[in-house]
Amino acid sequence: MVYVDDSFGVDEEGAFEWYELYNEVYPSQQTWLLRLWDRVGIPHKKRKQLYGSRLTVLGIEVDANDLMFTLPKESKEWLEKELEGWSQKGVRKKAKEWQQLAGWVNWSFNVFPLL
Amino acid sequence: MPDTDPLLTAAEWTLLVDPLSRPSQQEVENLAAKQTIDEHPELFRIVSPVDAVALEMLASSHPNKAFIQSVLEGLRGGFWPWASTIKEGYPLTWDESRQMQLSLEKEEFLNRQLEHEVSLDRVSPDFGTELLPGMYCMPNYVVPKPHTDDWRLVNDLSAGPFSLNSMVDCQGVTGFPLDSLAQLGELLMRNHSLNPGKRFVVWKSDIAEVYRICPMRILWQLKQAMRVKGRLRINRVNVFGDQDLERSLSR
Repeated sequence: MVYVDDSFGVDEEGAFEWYELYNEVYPSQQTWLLRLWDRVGIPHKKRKQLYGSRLTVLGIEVDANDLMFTLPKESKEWLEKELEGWSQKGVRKKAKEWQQLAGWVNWSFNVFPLL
Repeated sequence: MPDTDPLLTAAEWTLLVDPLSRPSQQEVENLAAKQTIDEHPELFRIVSPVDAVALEMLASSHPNKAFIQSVLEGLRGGFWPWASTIKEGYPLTWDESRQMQLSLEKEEFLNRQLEHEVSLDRVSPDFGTELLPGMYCMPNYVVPKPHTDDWRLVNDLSAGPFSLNSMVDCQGVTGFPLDSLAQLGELLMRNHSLNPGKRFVVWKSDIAEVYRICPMRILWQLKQAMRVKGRLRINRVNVFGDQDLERSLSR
C-alpha cells in the first residue's frame, strides 16, 4: 500500500527478516521493500522505517490485533482543546481557519464516523 | 482521470492508467526557450538517484507497458507536469519573486538547504540577477516544518497572474488514488480471517525527500528559476507544491 512517500502493510508477528544496511530486523515484507528500494536507488532513512502491533499510520493509530483504528492520544487532546477554543462565546474566525478546522474534523471522521 | 473505485489499490490502478504527460510539439518548438537551453548547458541537467535500468528490468512484466514507458522516460528525460507554458497573454519571461524576510535562524537554514541542494546537483550554479528568455521565477518562503523545530523551503507556485500552477491542467494532476486506511483495514481483516488466532504487526516505510527524486524536463526547469538573496539559480527537480505551502503558512 502506498500514500505518496509512505508505504505500509501487514505482516505476521515473528516473521521477521534481517536488513543488512540498518543492522536490524523488520517484518519480512518491509525488509523486501527496503531491499527493492536499494536496488532501484530510492533513498530512505532508518528512523522512518517503523513497525509494531500498534502503529500510527497516516495520522491514525492502528492496532493490528484488536483491529482498532483511533486518533492518537495527543491528536485527540489537541483536537478537543481546539474545539473548546472554538466554542467560547463570541469567537469569530477567518474563512481560512474554518477550512482548516473542517480538514481536521474530517480527518477524525476516518475513525469516528458517528460524530 | 475517471472516478476510480475507492477500494482500488494504487498498484491495481497502474494497470489501467494512461501514460504520464509529455510536452506538446509547440512546447518543444519554442525557439526562445531552446536558445536559452542551448546557450546555458551548465544550468540544466536531469538529476535523479533512481536507476531507470534497474526499474525497467523489475517492471518488465507489468502489463501496462505504455505507462511504465512514460515513467522510465520521466526518470531519464524529466517529467512534464501536464502543463502548457505557451498560453495566450502570458509573457515569454516572468519574475514573480519577492524579497524574503529572513530571521538569522531562517537565513542559516536557507544557506544550509541551498548548499545541500547544490551538492546533490538538484539546484544549478548561480547565474546572476536577470532571468534569461523563456524563464519564470516563483517566490520562495522559509516556513516551519510541521511537528518539528525545523524549517523548510517552499515555493508559492500559485503566485501572481502568470503562475506555474495556472499552466498546469488540473484534470491531469488530480484523482490519483492513494491507498488509505480503508485499504489497510481490508488487509488486516483479510489476514485475520485467513489465519485465525495469529498475531500481526503493521509496518510503514518512508521515502526520503520523495518530491526531490523526480527530475523535471529541461523545458520545465526553465520555469523553475529560484531567487535566493537576489541571486538566481535553476531548480532542476520537482518542487514542493502549493498545497504544502498553504498548509504550512497557515500553521
